[in-house]
Amino acid sequence: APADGGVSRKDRSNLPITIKASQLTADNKGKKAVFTGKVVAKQGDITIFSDKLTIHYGTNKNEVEKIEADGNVRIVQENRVGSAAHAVYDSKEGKITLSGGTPRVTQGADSTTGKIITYLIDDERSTVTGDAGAPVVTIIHPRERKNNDAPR
Amino acid sequence: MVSSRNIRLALALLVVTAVIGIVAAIFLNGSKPAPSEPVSPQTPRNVDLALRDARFTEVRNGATVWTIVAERAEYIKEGEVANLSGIRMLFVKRPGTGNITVTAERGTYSTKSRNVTLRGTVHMTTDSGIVFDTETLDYHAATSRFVTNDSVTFRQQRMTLTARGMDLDVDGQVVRFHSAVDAIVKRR
Repeated sequence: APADGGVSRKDRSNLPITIKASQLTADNKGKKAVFTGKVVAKQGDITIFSDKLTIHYGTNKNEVEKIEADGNVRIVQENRVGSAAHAVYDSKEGKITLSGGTPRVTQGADSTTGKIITYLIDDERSTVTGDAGAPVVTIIHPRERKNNDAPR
Repeated sequence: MVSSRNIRLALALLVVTAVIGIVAAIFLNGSKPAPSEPVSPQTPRNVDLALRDARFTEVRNGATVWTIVAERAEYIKEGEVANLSGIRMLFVKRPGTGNITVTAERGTYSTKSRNVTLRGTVHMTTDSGIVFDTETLDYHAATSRFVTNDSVTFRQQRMTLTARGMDLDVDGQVVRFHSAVDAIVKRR
């Protein structure tokens, strides 16, 4: 965790979300909208690719409570990529929870897998839980030392 | 002295002129087109009945499902279709479904199938805040569905989208967009 005890978390829920998909089903009671077929959703620096995306509106008409992605989920934020069978994106908390399939987060050459991965978008931090069937495995490639970076 | 012969000649001339005048008058009158009967304006020949501010209502199990008010309705006897213009269709609020109002420039209503076609600036609003626009929309009475294959614009709460093709189930209050869905969700 960063030395300064955490980074101020950005509330992205105000940012517009653009979504492209093959189909959409929305219920008139305005509770949710379900996009299916090659879904690509963007909000700020976050891009979500999935087979299906569900937008849950909050009780307050102006709010998106959460976004759920299902099927071949891939979430890209700069050089960090999260993948799983299911993901929940909480834009207010800046948090993405990956589960189902083989949840994995890669950053550059490093990667982490487990049963459930929760990563905090602005903290550059992830919490990974595993179990016997899906142990937590983290692979970190030490950065190559440059010549003048010889050990003392 | 004027001779009697000249007088007779003048008289004959007078008579002939008069006869010619009368014949000409009759002829002129005859060729004038008979004044056209006062036909109501823009009533095509195959229309049997034209109504202004016509009202159609669909009742199911004793309850009104929807009402259509049309500024003008033209009926054709053989067909069971009324051609409408200046249409306003209102779905009445029922348990689980809010009001739906649809307006359009023109369309048709089939008294047999109860189906409605809507054409030209079709605009729909619902109680829950859905706003929807397209150019063509068909209402299928048997399944209580609105269907179009046209491009549509749709707004619901924070979401605005464009798509091609739509299917709205009035009873289930669920709307499906068939293709090319391009949406944006943002705070208004």
